[in-house]
Amino acid sequence: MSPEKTTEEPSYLDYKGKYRGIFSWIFSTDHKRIGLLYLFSILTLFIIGATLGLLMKFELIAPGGTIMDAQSYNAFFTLHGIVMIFAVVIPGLPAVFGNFLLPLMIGAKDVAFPKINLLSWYLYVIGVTLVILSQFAGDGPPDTGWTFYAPYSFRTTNTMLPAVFGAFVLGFSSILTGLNFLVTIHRMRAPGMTWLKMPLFPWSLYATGWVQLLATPIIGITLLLVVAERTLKIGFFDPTLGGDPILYQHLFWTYSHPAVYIMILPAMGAISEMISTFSHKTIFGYRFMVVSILAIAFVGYFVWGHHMFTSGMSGTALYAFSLLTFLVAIPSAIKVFNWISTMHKGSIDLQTPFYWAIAFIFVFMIGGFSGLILGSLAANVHLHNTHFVVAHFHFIVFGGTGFAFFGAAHYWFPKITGKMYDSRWANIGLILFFIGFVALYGPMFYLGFKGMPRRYYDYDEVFHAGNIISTMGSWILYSGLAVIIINLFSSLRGGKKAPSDPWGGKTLEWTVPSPPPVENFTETPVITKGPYDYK
Amino acid sequence: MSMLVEIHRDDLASKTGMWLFLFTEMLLFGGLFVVYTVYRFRNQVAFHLAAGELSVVIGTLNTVILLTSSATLQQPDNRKLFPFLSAGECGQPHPPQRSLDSG
Repeated sequence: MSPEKTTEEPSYLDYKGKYRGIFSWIFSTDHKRIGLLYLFSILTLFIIGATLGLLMKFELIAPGGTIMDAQSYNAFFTLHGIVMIFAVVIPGLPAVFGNFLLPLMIGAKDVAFPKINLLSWYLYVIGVTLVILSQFAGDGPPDTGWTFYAPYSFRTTNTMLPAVFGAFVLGFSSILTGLNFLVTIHRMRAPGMTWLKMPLFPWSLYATGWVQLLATPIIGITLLLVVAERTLKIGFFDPTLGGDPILYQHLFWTYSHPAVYIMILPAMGAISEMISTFSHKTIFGYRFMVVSILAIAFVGYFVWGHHMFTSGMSGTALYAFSLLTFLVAIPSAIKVFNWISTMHKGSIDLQTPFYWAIAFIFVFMIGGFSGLILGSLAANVHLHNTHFVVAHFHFIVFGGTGFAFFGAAHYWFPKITGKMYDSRWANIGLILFFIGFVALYGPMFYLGFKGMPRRYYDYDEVFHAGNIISTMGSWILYSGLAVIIINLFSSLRGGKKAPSDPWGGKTLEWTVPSPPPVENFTETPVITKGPYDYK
Repeated sequence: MSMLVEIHRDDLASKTGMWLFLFTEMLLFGGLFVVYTVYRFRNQVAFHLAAGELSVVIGTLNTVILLTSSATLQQPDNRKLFPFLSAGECGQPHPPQRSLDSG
């Protein structure tokens, strides 16, 4: 890797380093190439997870066994959950768009620890491999659901260890990404970029970094305790060995609820960028946005108990967790209010990423309000473990993070690839995706409210109509997904060349050529104005 | 890729990274300590009896090894002592243990 300075900086895609071919990617410590490594791995796993979901919905098109038996259905929802949660939505926005854009948006050449960054991708691949391996090794695929709840995870005779250990390894990948981003944001902002001149996507990555760093170790040790319990028969959680299954749930949700904020905070940050850019207006209430990001991350640590309202806790704990859950709604509502207010009197440019942002706000609000219903104690007793819960978290996790992910993909696609995509097909894809999404998850609210439990391959005849709509929705959703992905990939070859700033964005990544040069900035930028300076 | 122009070196960043990593270690073992505390509190007699079953020799040996390990890490020129230790400094432009010393 000899230093060669030319007048024309090569783009990161054309740069010829020490390695050739695939090795120029998997040995690269360039944050942009690592971001793309993550993108392709996550996209592959997303398609696997989505296909599993499609098959599960097909099973539910009619009562009784349609295409699979009860045990296969258990294995399907377990793998769907593990893949989608640990391997897709948790690393989704931070590891793909965070890696690619964080240094560009704060005016840095790379992240603080480029080798650790690559290591985190290796860990990711190892973790995913272990999870996939668990499907084929030993005595049948895991069937406990992605939560590995005790005592199922000790009593089941199926292979659990590779899946549990895989999730543990994926946790470490997430910790290292968070650590890297925190140090990068603290140490590598461009001269003049004070904390309150930093764009909101880096801010959301900063809050996410803290959550990744401080919450993930807890699931790490919990999963190791499960491994110790299964292999060494130490009674941590299994009552027959003298353990306490509720302790498992506490430890598990102490991580897994903050993990929801690992998923949603970067989504909110990306949406803020899109709303400001396409409204050509500075974000409304920038400081409130920053405070609400930090508040969501902070309060998010203290609400895990709302997953356990029916598990057996003291009355005081129930009230406290319910109240704290309601508190999270306040900063989330501030953000929605500020997004809408940013559009007010803005000069709105209706482009595909902006449609995704609007769709995000719509589905996020439905997901958020249904979360309040679940957060109230009396309603929770009725709705716990029904399809209502499934609908709620798909509206938040898939509707929130998923819509923001595809919005971000359309927003930063010109920057990442240097090509423009066909916006007509992109919009058709979005419309199909949106209709399919609402048709798929909307009826689940009704079904859950009527009492259809989650995680069963079979149901009573009274739930048939809603399930038919839901299954048809999954077909529309999947075809929309296909249109979106085919359109983006075909634009790689046929698309027009992208200018450095196709949308009129004001943040730093739009000041460099598309695709960016290897070293990002030829001269270190000096920041004098706020992040969204449109006046 | 930042090697293209100059080797990036930021000691304060290494130090910050190391401290943040220590936070994760605290929380990782924090989970274990929570479990230990709960069961220690619930089964006091059992823990007392179990302690009598432990081997004093192995326990002492283990403590000695751990303390020696910590002591060698504290040495500023531990890379001369144990060249293989430098294999552990992944992605650090600077050995993390040394940057902790300098603080």
